Amino acid sequence: MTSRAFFARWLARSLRGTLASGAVATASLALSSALVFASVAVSAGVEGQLGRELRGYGANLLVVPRQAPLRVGMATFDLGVVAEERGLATSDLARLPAEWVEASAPALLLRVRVDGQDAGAVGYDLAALRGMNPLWRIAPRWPEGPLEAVAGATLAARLGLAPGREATLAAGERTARVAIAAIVETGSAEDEDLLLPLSLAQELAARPGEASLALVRARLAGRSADDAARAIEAAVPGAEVRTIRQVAHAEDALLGKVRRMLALVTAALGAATAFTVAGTLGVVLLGRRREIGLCLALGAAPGSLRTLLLAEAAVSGLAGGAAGCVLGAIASEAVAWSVFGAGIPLAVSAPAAALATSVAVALGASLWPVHRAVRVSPCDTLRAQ
Amino acid sequence: MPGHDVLTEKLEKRYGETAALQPLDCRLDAGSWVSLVGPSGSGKSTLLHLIGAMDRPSAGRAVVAGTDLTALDAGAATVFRRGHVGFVFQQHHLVPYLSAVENVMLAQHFHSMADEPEAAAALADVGLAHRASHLPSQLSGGERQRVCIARALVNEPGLLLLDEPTGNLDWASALSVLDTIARLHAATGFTVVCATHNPAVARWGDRILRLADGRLASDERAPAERPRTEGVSAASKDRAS
Repeated sequence: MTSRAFFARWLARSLRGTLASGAVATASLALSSALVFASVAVSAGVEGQLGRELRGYGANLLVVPRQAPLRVGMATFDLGVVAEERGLATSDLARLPAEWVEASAPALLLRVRVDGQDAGAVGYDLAALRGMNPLWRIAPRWPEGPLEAVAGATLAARLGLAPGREATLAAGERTARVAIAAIVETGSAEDEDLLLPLSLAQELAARPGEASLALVRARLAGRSADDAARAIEAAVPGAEVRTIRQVAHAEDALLGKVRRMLALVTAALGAATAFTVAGTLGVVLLGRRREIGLCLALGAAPGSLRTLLLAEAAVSGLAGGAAGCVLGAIASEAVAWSVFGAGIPLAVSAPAAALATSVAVALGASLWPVHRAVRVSPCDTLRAQ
Repeated sequence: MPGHDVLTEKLEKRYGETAALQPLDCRLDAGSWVSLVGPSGSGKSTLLHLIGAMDRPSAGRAVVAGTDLTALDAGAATVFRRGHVGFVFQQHHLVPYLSAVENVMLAQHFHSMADEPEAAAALADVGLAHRASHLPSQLSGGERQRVCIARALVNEPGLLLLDEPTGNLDWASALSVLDTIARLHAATGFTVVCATHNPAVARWGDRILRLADGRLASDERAPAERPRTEGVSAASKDRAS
């Protein structure tokens, strides 16, 4: 029998023989690796989940015609400069790359007179706008017909507009009569505007098939907003894409903070587990002093005993890590459902990190107790019995 | 392997102010069976550990088979021990999770390479072929001690050190163990040094060294009529008397 084969047999017997005494250490490793698994899985899944949560904050990219000179504002953001004269074809905007674009809402900006008073108006694909801004406070309902409009709260107060009231819109020679379906209060620029169906705005502005800009909610999930911008610019002729920095950066900042917090908690728990495992192993090895002393008396090299004991630790680490993966998968699903109300996809990195951490903690925590254990004097150990 | 001779010169072991072994000079002939007798604390085990390269003396030297053990560092002492010395302890120390044959194979593994048929043969030599796959917890005290003997001798050492080998056994088991050692000793000629406080066990040796307070108190030839020459029944009578 080769030395390696006997060593494997010895290791297997040793693991079986010390199963009960090593159970506490293995359980500690299982718990810590479960936390690592959950932490990595949640950290990976949080991008998608937070992305869904952050949809409520609206667009993160703005598509405008290249070299457009008119400054406009959207929400609390300075949306940059566009030109009324130069627009984007809504047919082009329909070809935004689905890989990068989660939702988009073409918009046409125009000035109108509402019952004879000057006002800003924006024509939108209102259904798309509604999907992109679920957090908007709009009452009593979103418009459903082609001649219904939403009045911003400030504008409504200034012009005396109210849900159910009709108003006459005029843009140059063109006029239309719309019903106010709702008042919207966003706390930002939309409060000053009248939001119209895009088709009505195009008709009033005499710019059929055109949009001044498009609000885009890009699928970032850890990818760069600049990469998304480049992909969209390549897909839409004559378009320039600007990042709405506040939203994009809010996502990055939030994700970064969540990741850092999870990493810190995981590191702290890993350190605590290492101490627990080291303490437990110290006690376990104390109980094996007689066996270790006996092997040394029989001529075992300390190195071979060290290898055996560290191999045991590594196997315990693997066993604890495997159990931790199962526990971690359950825990991460529970966390995802309780926090986000949805499950998270299993990241391959989660079990890899859990197993690697478990083995590393087991080995790291074993080094000192094992080093001490194999330095015992065999005759002292055997005499003490 | 033929037996090793053992020489001690002013061999001394101290633990702080306490002298476990006073300077000791003696020579043990190759192939002899020497009994070390004396009460607890007389230095028997200390002497065994020193000539077995398990411990280092405070002064003096021990030479086994021409090797000065005091000149060996820890690693060299380990190599010497695994190649030249077999130990049997009072408490029949076995690795609890290994079977009888695996305990024997463990000594082979440390020495060179585990060989299961050879280990099984060593167990057969001590009458335990049928217990090879049993764990220590499934063996009687006498059987466990015989496993220890098989383990100690499987690498054919020139020196067998026995530290109260029958201390935890009933007399029938003790006789069986001693008889086994005597048979193998007669067959292969290794040197035996057996520490015991039992005069009946001591009489199995050719020579009896009596220690007291870490000093050599007497050095005598064993009685011509020894229990092992008369077999188990004679030894039983000896103990009864």
